[in-house]
Amino acid sequence: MKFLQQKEKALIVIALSCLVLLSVPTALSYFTTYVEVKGSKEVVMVEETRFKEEVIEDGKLVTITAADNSDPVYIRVRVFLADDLKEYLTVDTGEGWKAEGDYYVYQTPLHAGESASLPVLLKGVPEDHPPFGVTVIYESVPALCNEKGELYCDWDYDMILEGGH
Amino acid sequence: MKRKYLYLLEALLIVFTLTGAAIPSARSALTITSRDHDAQLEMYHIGITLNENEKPLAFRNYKNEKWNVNGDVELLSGITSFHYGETYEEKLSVTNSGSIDEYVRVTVYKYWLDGNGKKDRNLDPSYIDLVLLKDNGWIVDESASTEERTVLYYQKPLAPGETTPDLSSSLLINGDIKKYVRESETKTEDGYTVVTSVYSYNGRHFALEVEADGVQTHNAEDAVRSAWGVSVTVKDGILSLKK
Repeated sequence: MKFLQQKEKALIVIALSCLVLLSVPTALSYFTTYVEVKGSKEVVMVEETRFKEEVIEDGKLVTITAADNSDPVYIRVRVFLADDLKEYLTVDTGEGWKAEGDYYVYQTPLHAGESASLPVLLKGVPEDHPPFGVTVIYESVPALCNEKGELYCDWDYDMILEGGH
Repeated sequence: MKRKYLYLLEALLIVFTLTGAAIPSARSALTITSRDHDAQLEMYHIGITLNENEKPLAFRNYKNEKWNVNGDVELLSGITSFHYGETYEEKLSVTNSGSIDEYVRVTVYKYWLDGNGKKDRNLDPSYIDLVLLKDNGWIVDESASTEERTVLYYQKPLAPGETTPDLSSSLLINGDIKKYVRESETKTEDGYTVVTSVYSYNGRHFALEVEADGVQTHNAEDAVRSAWGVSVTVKDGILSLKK
């Protein structure tokens, strides 16, 4: 009698367990597959530009070069001289350069190993003019990359130097 | 009397168990029946291949009752050195390398690594730009996507041997990364004025990880929900995400 009662209970438990198992979604048997793959790369991010002035007839030749391992940069040049000499100043923009306000801007980014030159000339200065100096400065900013991979220039680009400066 | 009920319960249990065990395993395959059904069942297998730049890269196919896997490969192996300012071709697509139609999805992970090759959560993954293509059948699940993870679904069923359109075109580093400069130096060398800037992310490694999933098209809504945990609707074969 006791055995029959135990058997009854066991059968009921098994029956309930089967009900629970059968209620589990049949999705366990759906066909699925997957594949995973990954890769990594080191990023190189350095800019190096070299600036040189050479004395030429009637003025100087300014040359800016992006080093062989440099990221692309945009460059511009500004010329400082006394006001009475400005009428004699000639900057041969030629191909690639354009006068924009106080600056002469190179229109395309300089990529690694590329150079851009700008002749800064003073012609017709009177011989009795006191000695004078002409200062040429240059500026460069990183060529920025938009989501399409196109490079563009932003001269007002803010940068943060590590250390908070 | 009690014994009678006991025997009845035993009999019902046996019938229930046998019937219940048979239904699930047959349900996913037996949606049609024909005299040739037994022979066709042996040929059913699901498979998926991830392609990079129009070449098969990694696959996982179930055939002859076993998985054939080629996973010991690397993404980006065609790139020798990665420079800022350059755009690298990175066309990703998926091929159905099985024998049944399937829906596919791709999950892309991008993140920076620390010196130990582990994920560096302090660096911003949004600077890593995998350029996605639009209006070609791939849709982005915006609710599941973050700066690090992008989940895409291909809306149309993929027939055996068929390949999806590319979901991406290229890989580059976003310009905003140039905001952070580690050091800047000016010096004179051989008559030149040399200005050098080294950026904070210079020398850092980034990782790109891609997972492609495939699921059968039969009972697609249930299959997707079960396999991927996502609610979708399939109308005229076109899969859409439920909002």
